[in-house]
Amino acid sequence: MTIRRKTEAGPEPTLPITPMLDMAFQLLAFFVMTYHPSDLEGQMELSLPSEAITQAQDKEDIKPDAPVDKDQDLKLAANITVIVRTQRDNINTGFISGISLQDDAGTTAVDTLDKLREELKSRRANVENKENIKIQADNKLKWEEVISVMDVCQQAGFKNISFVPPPSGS
Amino acid sequence: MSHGPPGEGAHAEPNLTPLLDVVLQLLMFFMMCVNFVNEQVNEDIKLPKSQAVKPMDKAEADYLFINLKPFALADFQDRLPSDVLARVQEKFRDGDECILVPGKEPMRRNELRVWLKQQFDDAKQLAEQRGEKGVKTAVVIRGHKDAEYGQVFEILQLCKNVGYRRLLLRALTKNSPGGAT
Repeated sequence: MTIRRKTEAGPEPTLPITPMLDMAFQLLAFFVMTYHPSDLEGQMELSLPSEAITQAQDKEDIKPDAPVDKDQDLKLAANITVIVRTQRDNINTGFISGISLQDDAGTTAVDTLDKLREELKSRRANVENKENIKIQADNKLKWEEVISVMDVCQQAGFKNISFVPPPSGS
Repeated sequence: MSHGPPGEGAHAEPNLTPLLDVVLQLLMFFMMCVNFVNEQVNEDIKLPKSQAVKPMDKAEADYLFINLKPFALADFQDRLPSDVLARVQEKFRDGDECILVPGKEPMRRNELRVWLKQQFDDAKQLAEQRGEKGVKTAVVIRGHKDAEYGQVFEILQLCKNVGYRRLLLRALTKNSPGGAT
């Protein structure tokens, strides 16, 4: 703003806006460039690993692959288990090498995640627990792959996902 | 504004003040965005992408963060004092399971157990003092995409054994439909 005294002629005291604007533009450019409207972080609530398994694990020395006995297994609320395997050949280690579905009737192999989605959707109609599902992955499977399997389960309509300890020797 | 006094002829001067106002507004916006993104986030963890994740609940404040990733020395090279770095280097090899908790040195799983137990007991005591039932803290697990299922599972199990009842997994939101392959 300019404050003018009408009586005296003299230098007008002005606020130097231009350099300030220059600097503001510089800063603006910096922040615009460093601003990544990238993927936001989200979270998912986890259904806890079932009680039956945890009890067996209370002593650390018991291996996570200890077989869960039948009676306890029946208490688990989920009917379907998705089993995800990986190879250990240094090249494909950590990536999915095989998917299968296990339920009371037995185990069926599925080729791809898309097939898994279809299969889960069709099976979901017939199971008692329409919300719960278990995932059992190999020890070495990458977390990224586990998340993608979780995605598929959720897309098929299973809201509560719980994890089963990795099998022995995986 | 400084419009020339009448009668002195055309004294054209661009009006910069509103422009500056707008620019400052924009500046403010971007600065705030930057601050929000950096909150509590460990940048080394590359989270997997998922379609199933829900936006975070800002109202909830009681979180405990556990970051998990395969160890890489490069992550710590210039960030830790040399004595700490030497200790870390001795303890971890590249690719080892490495647990990072805000404000603590990288940990192994057994150290995490001790630390978690301590945190849980403190929280429990605090909750009792306040007359609340149980510990409300949610444990947030931020697993690097290359971490192994076995490791994440062990940590989940550990949290549960210690007594935490709310476990959250973090991932990045992926909006493109049908992207899972």
